[in-house]
Amino acid sequence: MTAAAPRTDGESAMVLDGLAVGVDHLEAIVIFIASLEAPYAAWVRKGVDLSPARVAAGANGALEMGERMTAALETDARVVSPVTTIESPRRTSFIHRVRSFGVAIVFEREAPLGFARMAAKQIVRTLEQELPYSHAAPAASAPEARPTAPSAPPARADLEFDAHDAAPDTQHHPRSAHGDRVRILIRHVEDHAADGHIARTRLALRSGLGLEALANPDTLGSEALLVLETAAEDILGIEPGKLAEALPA
Amino acid sequence: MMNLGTILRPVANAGLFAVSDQIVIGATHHESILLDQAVWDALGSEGWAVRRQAAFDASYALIGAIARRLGIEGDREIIDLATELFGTLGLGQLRFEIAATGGEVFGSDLLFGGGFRERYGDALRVRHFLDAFAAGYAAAAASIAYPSDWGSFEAEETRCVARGDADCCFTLSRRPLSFQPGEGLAKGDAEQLLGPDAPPDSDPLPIGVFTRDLMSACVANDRGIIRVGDSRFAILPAAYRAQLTFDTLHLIEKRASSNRAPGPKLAPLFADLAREATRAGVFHLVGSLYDSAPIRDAFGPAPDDPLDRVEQLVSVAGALGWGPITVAELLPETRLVLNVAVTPEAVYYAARHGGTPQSRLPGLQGLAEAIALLVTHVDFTTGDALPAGLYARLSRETPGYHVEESRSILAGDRDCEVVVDMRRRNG
Repeated sequence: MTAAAPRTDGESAMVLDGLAVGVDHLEAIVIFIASLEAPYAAWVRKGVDLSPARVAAGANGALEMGERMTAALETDARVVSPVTTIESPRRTSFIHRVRSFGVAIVFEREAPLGFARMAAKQIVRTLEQELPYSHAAPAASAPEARPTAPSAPPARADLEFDAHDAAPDTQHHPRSAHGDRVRILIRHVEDHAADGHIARTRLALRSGLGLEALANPDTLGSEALLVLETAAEDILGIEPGKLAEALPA
Repeated sequence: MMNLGTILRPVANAGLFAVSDQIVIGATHHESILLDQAVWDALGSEGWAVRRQAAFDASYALIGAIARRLGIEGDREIIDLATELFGTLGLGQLRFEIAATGGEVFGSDLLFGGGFRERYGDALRVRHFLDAFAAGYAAAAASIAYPSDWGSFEAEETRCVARGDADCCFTLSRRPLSFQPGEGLAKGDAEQLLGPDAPPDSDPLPIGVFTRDLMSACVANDRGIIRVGDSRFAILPAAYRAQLTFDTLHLIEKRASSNRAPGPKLAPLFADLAREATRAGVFHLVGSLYDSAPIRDAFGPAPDDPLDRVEQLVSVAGALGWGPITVAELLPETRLVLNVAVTPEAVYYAARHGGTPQSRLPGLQGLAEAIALLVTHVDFTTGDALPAGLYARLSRETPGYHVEESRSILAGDRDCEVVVDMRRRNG
């Protein structure tokens, strides 16, 4: 197995190198937003000529077809997430669904089918833990993979929402709904995490957003909010998707 | 179980400790869990592999060195040695059910998984596996017991008490050997860093000698548990913590430098959490020892003079494997400056990565901060100087002093020096 740096068409929202290490014959992992065909994160082995965007587009169609076929075959309505296997002349590909994401895992054709299927399942199992949770599809815009930090120096997020009704400051981002949600989330984690004094640092590191972004939450978008919510759930040790129930309205 | 004095040996002129030829350090479950947690925060699921590899490398060197020294060769004998050593060091209990083709290892009261339950209770459950150290240790022991030039063993944890399981279980299977097992951190690495002109060890304060004797007298119970105050205490290979810290730090830095656009500064966040891990561990361990009945009986009440008190505190810390630390300056509630020739993390960095002008001693920084907290905020005259919840309260009220490395042997200086500015805060 060749360990290689991610090679994506755009920025990758996740670093997938660790999933690929030690998996023989693996050529690519492409995670895409199922409803949009947009690549969310990708790893392509060095020297392999595959475009994550093209793989995402093709896999999205295959995922939809596989799900339609499953619906036609299976009477149990709960069975909605088949694994679609494509055996093309040079490659074997597996397409899985993880919530609102599709995951295409591409192997060389000579990979033993059983091995490849097992390796793909292991990768998907890890991604089920790592990918953001969302009850709805991710925002219909290009993913904010790794938001760059604003140049302002780090400072604590302002948690007093109602104390600032003064005239708008044009040097700062206007207050946003996402920003308010992030403020509530940070305060909740700092109040409830076992080691509250390091909770903010852990959130910043685990989300990959950095402290500057948390200090300027109005600059963050929906993708960043999802990533933060997942990080908060991990830190608090609560079930995936349950953070919303714990947060004050 | 043997007492720790049976296996601990001083490293000449360095003030460090070794088991066989491997440098070790006294640690609690606090910093062990917090450092692993920081790696998990930084690397996500990749963190398991980084932690397990660090544990494999350090354990392979440690068990291998002892087996060679004692002339132990048979597979069962090596497994017995590894089982006994694990418990003696205070790491918990392992039971191997393996053969040359693989098998299972069962763990109970492990420092990481069991320590996690102890630290957080049942309220906090994690979804990931915690005992990467035991996994790497078990795989290393099996790889030495059943050697093959084709491959070594790799362990996956399949049950973990930190996730709510009743015990910890690891499945061992053989994998192609794609790497050369690490050499750990040997006494020779410290001697090489100090050079032939290193001054001889200065005599530690009597309280340091006494603490060393106390540590040597520690015996793990039949569950492989050693306690100091309210903390689990264990002897860990210094290479484990250092490799874990610097592999993670370098990985974050490498990824940041390969990004086309400048991204969030994540490496300093990890360094902060690594420093916090040591701060928490040293605070509990040194504080508990300093407040313990044997030390109070031998030395009477803690001195009123803060300088006398801080000198005693660093002498206790030095006896736990941090080296002969000296207090260069103390301005009460203002500034603390500590010197030490080398620390285990400095020896590791120099041996594996060479010199650097960058700040690379998060452990020493955390130690200095913990000592500053102890001397400034803990009243050792009360008889119960460290009540439950004190550290959490202090951490909320005095979040992070400003700490700097003003000298480092890694940068070409003659020793290492850290300055704690108690009037400034981090961040």
